[in-house]
Amino acid sequence: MAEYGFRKRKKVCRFCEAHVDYIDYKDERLLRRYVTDRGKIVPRRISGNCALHQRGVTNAIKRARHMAILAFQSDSIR
Amino acid sequence: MRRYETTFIVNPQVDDAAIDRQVNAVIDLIKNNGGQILRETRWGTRRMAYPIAGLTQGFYASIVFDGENQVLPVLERHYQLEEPYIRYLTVRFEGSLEQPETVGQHDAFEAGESREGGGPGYRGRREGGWRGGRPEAPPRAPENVPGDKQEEEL
Repeated sequence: MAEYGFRKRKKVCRFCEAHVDYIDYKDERLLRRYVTDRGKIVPRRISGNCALHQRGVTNAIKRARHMAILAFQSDSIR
Repeated sequence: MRRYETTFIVNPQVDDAAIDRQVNAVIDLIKNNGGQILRETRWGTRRMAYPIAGLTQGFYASIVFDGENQVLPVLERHYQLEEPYIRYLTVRFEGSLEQPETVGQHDAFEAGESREGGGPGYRGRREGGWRGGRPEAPPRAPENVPGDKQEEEL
């Protein structure tokens, strides 16, 4: 064991920690943390969210995109 | 009776009175259909993330209300018939009215980790992975954790 850098650390869903039960699509700053520079949704593998909250984030991002709060793709690509 | 939230964008190029009229029209429509307004938020004119119908800015407003589901098609029809609405979204309201309206500033867990600050973030696999190093990068030198030592001795 103890090969540096390969020890698995347990990721904890940050929404569970903060007891968030609804992720608002209007909360642009929060959602920005869960999209890449290109505007893609950050996968669960990276974000560390639990399934429930990742779904909430995904849903919120999609709603935010519809309302032009978040971009579908980044300006630099367009 | 259910709790809904309807958000819409009005063309900001019409005059202020007209914007006001459009917002009030939605409110009246809800009220006339037996709904009850719980919260009305006018975010004001803000830049949209992408241009819609040649416009780069839009006047945002959102309304939380209790109402019967018959209101929804009425609302939808209103949005579609009237010119100045450029986007709308009506969803079940599952948030809490006690919490302050979020509108792009509130953060569920404020911790000074905003991505704009150049902090760590994930760019996506094809764009080079992590920016600014993995946030939870393990330490370079092994720490003297008692548990580790025991295992090494074994």
